[in-house]
Amino acid sequence: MKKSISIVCLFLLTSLLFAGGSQENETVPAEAAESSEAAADAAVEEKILNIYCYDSFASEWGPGPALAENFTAATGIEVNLMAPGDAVTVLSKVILEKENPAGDLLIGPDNNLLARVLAEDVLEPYNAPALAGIADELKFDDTNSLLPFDWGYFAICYDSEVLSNPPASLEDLTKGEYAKSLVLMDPRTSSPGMGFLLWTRAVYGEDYLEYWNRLAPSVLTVTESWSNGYGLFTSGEAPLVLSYSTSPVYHKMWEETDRFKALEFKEGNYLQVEGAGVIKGAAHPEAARQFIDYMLSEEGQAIIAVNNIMMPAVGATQLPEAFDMAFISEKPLLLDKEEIAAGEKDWVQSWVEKSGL
Amino acid sequence: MRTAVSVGYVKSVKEELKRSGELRLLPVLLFLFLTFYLPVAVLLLKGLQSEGVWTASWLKEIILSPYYRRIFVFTFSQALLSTLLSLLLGLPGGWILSHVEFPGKKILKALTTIPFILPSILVVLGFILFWGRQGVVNTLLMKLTRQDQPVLDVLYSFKAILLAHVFYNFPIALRLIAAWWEGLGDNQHQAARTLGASERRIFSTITLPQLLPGMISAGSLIFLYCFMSFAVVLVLGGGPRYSTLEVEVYRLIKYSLDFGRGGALALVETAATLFLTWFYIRRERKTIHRESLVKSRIPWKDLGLRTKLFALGYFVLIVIIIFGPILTVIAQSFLVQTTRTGPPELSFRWYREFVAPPGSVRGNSARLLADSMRNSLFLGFSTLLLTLTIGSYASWVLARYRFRFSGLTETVIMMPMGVSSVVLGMGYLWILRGGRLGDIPPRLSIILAHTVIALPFVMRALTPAMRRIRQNLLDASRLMGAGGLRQFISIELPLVKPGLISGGAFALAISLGEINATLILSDAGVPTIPIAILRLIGTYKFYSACALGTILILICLGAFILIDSFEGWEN
Amino acid sequence: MKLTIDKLDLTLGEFRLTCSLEMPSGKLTTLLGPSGCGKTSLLKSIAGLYSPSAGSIRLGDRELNGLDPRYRKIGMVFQDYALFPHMNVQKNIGYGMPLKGKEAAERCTELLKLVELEGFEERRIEELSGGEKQRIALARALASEPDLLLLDEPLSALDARLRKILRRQIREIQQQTGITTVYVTHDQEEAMAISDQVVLMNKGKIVQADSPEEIYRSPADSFAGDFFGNANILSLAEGGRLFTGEMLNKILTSPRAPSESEAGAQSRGTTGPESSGKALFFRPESCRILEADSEIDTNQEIGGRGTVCYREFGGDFHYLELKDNELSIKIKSPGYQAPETGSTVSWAVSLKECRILA
Repeated sequence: MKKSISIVCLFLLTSLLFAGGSQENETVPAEAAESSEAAADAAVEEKILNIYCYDSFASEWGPGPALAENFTAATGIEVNLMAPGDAVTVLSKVILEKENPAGDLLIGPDNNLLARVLAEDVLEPYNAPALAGIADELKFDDTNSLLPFDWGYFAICYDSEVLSNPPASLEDLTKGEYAKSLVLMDPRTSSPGMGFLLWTRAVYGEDYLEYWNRLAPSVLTVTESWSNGYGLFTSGEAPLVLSYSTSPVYHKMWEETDRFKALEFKEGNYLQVEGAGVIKGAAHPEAARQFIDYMLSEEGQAIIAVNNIMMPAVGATQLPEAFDMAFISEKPLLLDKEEIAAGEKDWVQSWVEKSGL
Repeated sequence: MRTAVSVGYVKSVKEELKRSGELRLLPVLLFLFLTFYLPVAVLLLKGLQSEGVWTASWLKEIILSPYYRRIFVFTFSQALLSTLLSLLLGLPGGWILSHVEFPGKKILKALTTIPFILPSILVVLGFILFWGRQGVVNTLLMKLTRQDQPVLDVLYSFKAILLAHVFYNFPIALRLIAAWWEGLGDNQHQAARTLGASERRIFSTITLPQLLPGMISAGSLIFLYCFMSFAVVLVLGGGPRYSTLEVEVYRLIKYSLDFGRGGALALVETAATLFLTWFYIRRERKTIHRESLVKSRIPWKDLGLRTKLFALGYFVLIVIIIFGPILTVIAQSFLVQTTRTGPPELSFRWYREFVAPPGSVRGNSARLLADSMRNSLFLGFSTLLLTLTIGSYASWVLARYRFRFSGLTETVIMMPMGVSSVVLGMGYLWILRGGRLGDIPPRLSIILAHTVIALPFVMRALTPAMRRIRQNLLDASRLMGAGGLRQFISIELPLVKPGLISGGAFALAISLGEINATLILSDAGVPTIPIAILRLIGTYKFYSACALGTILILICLGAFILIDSFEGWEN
Repeated sequence: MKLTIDKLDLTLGEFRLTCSLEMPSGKLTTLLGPSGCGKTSLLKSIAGLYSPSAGSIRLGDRELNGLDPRYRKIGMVFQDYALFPHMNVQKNIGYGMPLKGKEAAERCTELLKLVELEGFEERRIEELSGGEKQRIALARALASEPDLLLLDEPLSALDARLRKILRRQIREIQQQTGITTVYVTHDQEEAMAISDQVVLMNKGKIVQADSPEEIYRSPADSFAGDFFGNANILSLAEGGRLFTGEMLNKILTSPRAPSESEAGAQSRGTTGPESSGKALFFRPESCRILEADSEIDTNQEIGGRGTVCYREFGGDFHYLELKDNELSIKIKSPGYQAPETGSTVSWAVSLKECRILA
């Protein structure tokens, strides 16, 4: 009796220790000092660069491997790509280890994650020279901690073989002819989902839920991830899907079809800008800055655009013809990061309860 | 004199049984503690902390919120309904598997494991392709009825959630009920017949009451899975009106990084699943002490016409529900639809892309295919070996030693079954932060994680078998001088071989299908087949994903057949 | 009620059972034979658990074949008792009863008294010992007052002492209730002890159906002689030297000799190769050890001389095995005196006690 109780107690106690201990560790300055010392030592000769990025960035189809290879060839710095999951997971990891960072460069957080990045104070500002070539509306972080490297709009894509008369605005989407034709994503679990919620919020303000209620009959389903939703769309399940303005570029470039098209809406399209930043306390900050410079170079931007299927942040980048499939919106929409941080949780919860879906 | 010695020896054999087993299980418990309890507890306990101070405020907020209460009620009721439906559908199949001998039975059993290994993303795709508005079923029905609108509206409703849960869990019901039914033997049924009972009365008074514990045991396992269901509920249900707790845990912990509320909600969820796991184990333990009875099986040709028709009808149903979506995924990997209205063409295009030279298609698919296959097989078989080693030792200790709280001890081992992968994955992130475990190579840490997840299934297969070995058999081998390790290897392990085989198959399937922990632990360096599938889908390559899914299915079936061939290996 | 089985034909995979048989009303008939002989298959055919492809099974004047077991009005006790583990004793016994409520409870008490387990109503099955389970199974089988009681090796799971007690109890209950009973066993001693009629079976066929006494004294063939009790069975090829053709005639014309083999044996004589399949049969207790100075009466007896190679004391008799050249002779010799192992003695058996078996 006693033995097994003591075993259980041991279990609980040790878990408590670890749980409580983690808090303490974070307030011990010695460790941080140690790591910045280490950084100073390494600055003398930075021959390695640890990059945190999302899985598809590092994958065979992502821009990661090509960027890394070229960068190593040019600078002699070995690049180590680490991708424990999607952009949010990667950011979680960076936040969790901010007292003892294992990475030097963070690639992936977008404008919607900016508020969290700044609040957690995990990145160091870097005024990259290449910022001069980037349009002002893309510079979503005025502290220059998160530097834009590619962008796109959230957009409704449609199957031109099914719809001859595609919607031209958010308002059009609510029309009866599009009943059960639209696949959306859940803002609780996917970034396009969140992007669309913010989009409606940006256009309709306080009345966004009223719009959602009108939109509900047009919605076929709400998926938990972009992958699932887009899969439904390409298998012919629905003619309309929430995706990116750059999605048709892929089909044009690799499948040579212009069947799938992205729609520019009258109310404007919500902007998504992906950013990269030097991790605070990094062991190799100089190498990280060099990599950002490379990412924003003409060669880097082209690699990113083609492999990430996103628009390059630097306006002057030469792009394949297929990129003509992606529109440039007259009215890019973007909510203020403070407003998002303050309202996001309530908006999502209200959406779950009152969207009529 | 000689008698006295051997009596003394027998006594010492029995004495040893009385010693506490907890101590002997300590290595296993320690392993579980490090690879499971620590990461999970660290995360869950965040729900009881606010800025470093212990507090129950998050928990209170969650429990008092009508929003979460509604989600909890829905999660509970959809799981209950799915469970009942799976059991109901499993019942006739359980009868057929336990009473009828027919060709291809083994293959059928192996095939029912497939839903287990498929990443949910492929399952959803399979469902859409099969049941969807443009899916196989609707296309057929539209042609038959000459309509141009989808006839069957199954998806994006509560029905679809149930259908998908039946797809996933009905094989569990089928197998467990069949095993239980086999254990009933023929005689009670015959006795009841000679006592004048009708078939209906026999079923309701003799068979069903004795199947019930087995059904409750299977049911609690199925309930557990449905309770933690996530993508399927959201996508196939059609939207946020069908939200499970798991979606909210995902949102709070993974997406909003709100560890306070997320931890508290996960705590509530884990408490519920912990209770279910404990309940399941108590049920499971009651099955252990039954003797296996003679069960004669009727050859297919000797069945009556009505029974044959019934069985055939049932098989058709299984094929539609279970194999329909899977076969569609496989078929899709061989088809290319050039235009929307034209007929699909047979093609190996999606497979060819895997071996195409770099540059002709996007990305280096060939390398990914080779890497992911090698990684998956390596991880799968390592997990299998490690799980079987730990599992057979742990089940041996559980069966041979006395425990003060054997129920609790078993629950501690089985608990990984009842923790959501989001919680486990984020727990690993916490533990891995600051590179504290950075010295462990990713492959090893993935194997350890897979082992923890697979261990309950191996234990479930092994422990009852280990307990069924009669004490006098062990005494006999001890008196003949085979003690300890030799007895374990020469007597006990061969006797539980069926358990080793089915446990091994489960371990392999789980390792081949696992994705959440793998993704986090691999740091992109160890792509497995599911990760490769995810990458394909994430880069618009849905049909290549189907092709890779097909390869995954084939690898799994091949591995199962390989494992199965060990059955007759010894002789 | 009389049970008549006529040209029954049952096929189970490779195994085939064919038989015709009568079991007299109110009597206990045992089906006896080695395992795999078809006795349990025959029993289950009677119960309706197997469906024979041809033939008829009549109970009284009711045709059972083709009738569902539940309408046959039979009670059956299974080898493993097949008690329902999730019901208590009373519920088990009451399961097949047409009665309800108080009447059923009274009948249950009555039956428990019959099997001498008063007060066991509320017991759970797992609390019962093997012997108790067996008796509860018997009570359950009798509960619906069946026309026929079937017992499938009811005592095989019990120890020797309990078996003897319970077989007597079963016999007494059978005689008390006067129910026609079919009892399957592989234990010849048990069959001998309690049967009115023994049906000896081998390889799916009936070898002999008769009273136990008759089978014991006049087995139909070597199998019957060997299986039912202890016997000397000497092939005529080996044992032929013991007697002359005249003696053989005496054996064959003795009152209880089997008539079927008569003609063949007579015409062929004693030592022909054809007769090698036939055998001389006599029981060990029919043999006697001759005093040192006495001689065999060659008109009445046959015999020889042999060395005692094995000796066993059985209380009021000695069991001896003699080596007489190539023959081995088993002898059950009454009394407390017997020759030592290794000594050479003469033995004899009366011609009247000998049979020639096929």
